[in-house]
Amino acid sequence: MSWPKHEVQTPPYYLHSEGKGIDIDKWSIIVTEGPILSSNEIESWQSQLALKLPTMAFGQNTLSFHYNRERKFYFSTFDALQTVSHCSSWLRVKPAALWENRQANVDLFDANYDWTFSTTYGGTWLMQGEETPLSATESCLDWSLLRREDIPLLFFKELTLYEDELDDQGISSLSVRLRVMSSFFYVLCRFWLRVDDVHFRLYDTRIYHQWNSNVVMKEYSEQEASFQQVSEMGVDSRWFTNSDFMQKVLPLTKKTATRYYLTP
Amino acid sequence: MGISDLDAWIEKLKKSVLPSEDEIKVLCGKVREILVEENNVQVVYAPVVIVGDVHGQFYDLLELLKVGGEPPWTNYVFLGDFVDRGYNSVETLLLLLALKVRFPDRVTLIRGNHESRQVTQVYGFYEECIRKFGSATVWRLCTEIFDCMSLSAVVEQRVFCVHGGLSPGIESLEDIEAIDRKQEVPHEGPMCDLLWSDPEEVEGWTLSPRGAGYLFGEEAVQHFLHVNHLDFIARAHQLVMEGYKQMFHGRIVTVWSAPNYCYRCGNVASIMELDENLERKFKVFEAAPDSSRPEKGRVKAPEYFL
Repeated sequence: MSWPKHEVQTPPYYLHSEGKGIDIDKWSIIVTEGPILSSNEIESWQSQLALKLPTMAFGQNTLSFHYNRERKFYFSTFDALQTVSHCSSWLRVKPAALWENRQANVDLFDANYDWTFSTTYGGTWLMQGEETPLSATESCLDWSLLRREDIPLLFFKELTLYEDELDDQGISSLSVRLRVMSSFFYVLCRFWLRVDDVHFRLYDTRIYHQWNSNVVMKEYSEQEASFQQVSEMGVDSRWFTNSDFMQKVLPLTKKTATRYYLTP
Repeated sequence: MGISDLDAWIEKLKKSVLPSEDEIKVLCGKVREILVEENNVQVVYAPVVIVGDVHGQFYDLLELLKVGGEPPWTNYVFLGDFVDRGYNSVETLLLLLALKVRFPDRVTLIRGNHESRQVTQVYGFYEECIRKFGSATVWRLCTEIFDCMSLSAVVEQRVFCVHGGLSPGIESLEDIEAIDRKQEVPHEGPMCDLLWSDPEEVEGWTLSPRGAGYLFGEEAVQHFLHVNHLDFIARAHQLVMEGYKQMFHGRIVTVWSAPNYCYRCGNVASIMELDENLERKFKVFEAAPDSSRPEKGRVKAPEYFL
């Protein structure tokens, strides 16, 4: 495949040691990483959040974006978990149907939170944005540029903020991916839920900024379908564990764009 | 298949050299003969080492055997979840099966919820068998072995060992013996509960908010221990950053034996040694060094994701 020439001079950049970030243009992008929370930390977070935590909460994983030395937005596990609903979810795992008669005899765990850990979190923003709804076919991102694989990739990072195996009945995960290119940065923050044989849910936040522009674009989309709907589309079940693939097939239920303006 | 053949297999497996499909058929035949004769509550003597989830982390299992000592010098109870999630479920399971055949009285294998047809088809073991052998034959042979695995063990009539936890349908150890275990793990009922349930700070019994699976509290544990004249329960099934977790005044302990779970959680693992007096000693260990694992450096390559 050949692309038209991409006429951008890569600005000078500086890579932090051990993959902990990059300084480029007026931006400084900083990564922190660590293991899952300890048992003591889990207890403390649980009482602060009034939530039973996902089994893997990567409490030290953060990704922050600073512009002219001022933090503009960042991703944090704690902030994300703060957005998990305190109402119980309508979703149930597949074997739940077989358990219905047992439910009469036993109390349901006092679930004043959403056990699927669903979140619309797309970063914590320290600037004001202008939100507009988008139709399914509209986009505020430059896809022709994003798809190009000939542009040098200067820095890549993938962080899991949290993940839960839903008792081996699926997956709930929130992750952030970043790539810094010679002419722009691009972030995908993804909430991915698969309840085996029951449901798929994908909430994606995409963030895009081209050097020398005064705007940071954020596009948010929600996709959702039952296993039955997906099976009827004829999707092979071996793709069910691949969120990148499922993103291409799940029906879109919501889409918005937000523009954040940078002041020089 | 003689002892020398078995020893040769074990040595080869430790170097992650896989036996042929025909050899695996023979091994499975042998292990099946042993497992079908076992009780649903296996009798085990101290001193013994209790091992939690391993999840196909083969090089960490080799590390574990160094930390705990090699069988038959060390007596082991493995609490299940040998397969899925990790990269080497095949090697992990086959090594444990070979050790079981070689030292049947020194290696006890308890079934976990991942030792199931349905779960292994979603969480890795099935895929790995297809990838490594080109067909589902080995997976099928192994799942037949899963059906024969015991459901629990009792050490010196005082420590109850199980993968998940208790069941409201089980009052006594005799109730466990009464289960017809030679089947796929059911979606509900006592056998399912033993492999799936979790201890939690709740009163008595509650149902998980997911709509299936029990959570049991201190009261339920105390009642079960009292009825069956037991001291405490050893179980696995839940990831613990510190490798083990004691709850309910030490009446139940979770043992987790997969260090750096899924190669990214950064947790330590542990095994629990019970001496002649059933005193607990936790041996904590970290993931095998990169130099000993061929799958090292699985740092995600930069990708042009969209």
